[in-house]
Amino acid sequence: MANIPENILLKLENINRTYAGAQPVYALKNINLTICKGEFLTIVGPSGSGKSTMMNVLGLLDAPTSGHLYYLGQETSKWNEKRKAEFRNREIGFIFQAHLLLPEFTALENVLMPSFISRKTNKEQKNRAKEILIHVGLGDKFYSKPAQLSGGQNQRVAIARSLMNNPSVIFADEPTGALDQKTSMDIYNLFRKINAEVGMTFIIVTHERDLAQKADRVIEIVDGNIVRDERHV
Amino acid sequence: MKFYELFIALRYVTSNLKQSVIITVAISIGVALIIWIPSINLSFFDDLIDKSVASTPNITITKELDTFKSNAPTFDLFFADRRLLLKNQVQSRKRNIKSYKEVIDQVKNVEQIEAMAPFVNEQGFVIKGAEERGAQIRGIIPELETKVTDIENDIIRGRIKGLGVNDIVLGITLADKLNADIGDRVTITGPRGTSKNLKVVGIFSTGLRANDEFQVYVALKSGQQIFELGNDVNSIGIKIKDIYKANDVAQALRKMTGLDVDSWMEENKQILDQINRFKLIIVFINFLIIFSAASSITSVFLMLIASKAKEIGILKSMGAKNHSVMAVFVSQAVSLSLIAYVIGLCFAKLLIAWYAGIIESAGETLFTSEVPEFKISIQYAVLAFFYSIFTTILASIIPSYQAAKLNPVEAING
Ligand SMILES: Nc1ncnc2c1ncn2[C@@H]1O[C@H](COP(=O)(O)OP(=O)(O)O)[C@@H](O)[C@H]1O
Ligand SMILES: [Mg+2]
Repeated sequence: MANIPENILLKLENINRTYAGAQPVYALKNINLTICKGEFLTIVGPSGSGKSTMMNVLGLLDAPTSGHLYYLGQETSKWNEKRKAEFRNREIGFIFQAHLLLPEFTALENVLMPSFISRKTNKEQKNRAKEILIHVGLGDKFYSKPAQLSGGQNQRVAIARSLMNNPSVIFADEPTGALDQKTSMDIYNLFRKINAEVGMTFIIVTHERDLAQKADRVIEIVDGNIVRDERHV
Repeated sequence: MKFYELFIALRYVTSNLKQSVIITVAISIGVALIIWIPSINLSFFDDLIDKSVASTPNITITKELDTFKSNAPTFDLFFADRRLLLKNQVQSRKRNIKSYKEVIDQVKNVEQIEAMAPFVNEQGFVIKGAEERGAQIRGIIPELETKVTDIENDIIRGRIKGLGVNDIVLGITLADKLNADIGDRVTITGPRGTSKNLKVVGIFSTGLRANDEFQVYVALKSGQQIFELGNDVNSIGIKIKDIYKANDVAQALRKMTGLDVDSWMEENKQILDQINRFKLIIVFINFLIIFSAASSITSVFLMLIASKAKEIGILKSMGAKNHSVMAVFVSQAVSLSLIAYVIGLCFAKLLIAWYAGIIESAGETLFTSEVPEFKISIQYAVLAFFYSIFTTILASIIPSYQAAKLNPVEAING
């Protein structure tokens, strides 16, 4: 714990995730992985290979069956739900395939939701939310509800929301899976831009190979094992 | 934003109108019924008690340890064959207090006692022309009597103050039946046949049928004459501060004087018992009302929360804690119940007004010749408030707890 270097965001040691049942599913098998701050990383692999499981474990939404997960030098297995929730609120942003916006709230309110949850919303935060929305190209949609926006626009709102509390890392599980190619590319470029500008770590699951290949680092998972971990410079 | 839970809850209230309306209607009907049913019944009972208490002393001391109580107009008297009743009593009656001044002196310092008035009271007849009616003849000292009962306020014509030895005051119903009015002369006859010719100087209406038909007031002296009591009285009426302490005070007076002491609560035991039985039934009815309102809340919330599972998942992934998720839904329910309470209260008022209209058009009730004033029962309005809040919390807590316990991964994928 003490000897994990400063620049390491995440460290996995012998992580297993087994879904119990009559036929136990070994979704993650003895994963060892280190992710540094500011990395732009994609995870690829066939369907059912364990990518989502990996994202959920990394994002503290799911607990590994065994192994150690270190976040910013701290071992997380002893953390209770409350602590994990606070950590997620502060340090982690999620983007899912479905945007999962709250339909009753405007784009701006949806973006502000993580700050509402941290109970720190003030004028500054509201301005920040607006800036982020402008940044993702929705400067004219502050007060639109999700039903009034297109799929791509909603996903941008979800991206803006994930950025709101200025987390250390964004987990995006097939964030463009439901979008057309052009929109996918735009969103991918948006991620890159944010990564370049503020150094936020991005971990993106995608099955669009050519998109994946543009990342700095590509991890391939097959059947719960990491079979490839390559860096592009 | 300190309480984002409330912010989300209120938005859910305004955005999910269908659910909001269903829940609000369910609770407001419940609230209206919880207020309406007791209000109209208690208005009726309160009125009955008010009228009974107002027209008789809170406590009456009599000498004879006779279980037959007739100094107050009872409902037995109203229903039973009056003549038969009179005959029986003529034989058994012998109740007099020789030195009522001593008794008054003896008890005057008892706590709660506000005023005392000696009187004689027996059954007799009032005759005018061919009409002959049985009556409770009450010989009073008007200056004292008016301090003990509200009879003065019930006078609708003429007067009771300064009642002379040749004067009589009749109840409105009796006056009608005798076809007697102010200035007319009537004859009263005591149980032993002594009679006296008197002039009608006042007519009263207590609103209580038994009183208005059977009670007459004469001067103490006249009463003593026709009942052949000499200078004795047979009762002392007492007014106390807290009328619901009547039984305790009566008990104390009984011990102190050794005389027979009656309280209005014993006299009106039937009504009071009826009220208590009614209140018990109301507890049961309220329980049923609450139960049905609660079950509608629970089922609507189970559906609502099922439809919001993904959103709950994302809220939790953003760091919303379990208790916050729960608070969102519970405060949504509570907000709805506050709205519903106000609607239910207005609804109850309308129902009470509607019911009062029906009763008023009838103009009378079984025991009273005047219609009571139907008021909202503050007690039950307050109770309904807590019922509605408590019920909604209880009814929403199980679905909300389920929401809070949702596994975010499953919720998001599900
Ligand atoms: N909640 C679950 N219970 C049981 N098995 C599961 C559950 N979630 C995922 N799995 C199984 O775990 C394996 C990995 O799933 P997942 O991580 O979703 O793969 P991917 O995201 O790569 O498609 C699959 O075989 C899947 O069926
Ligand atoms: Mg997946």
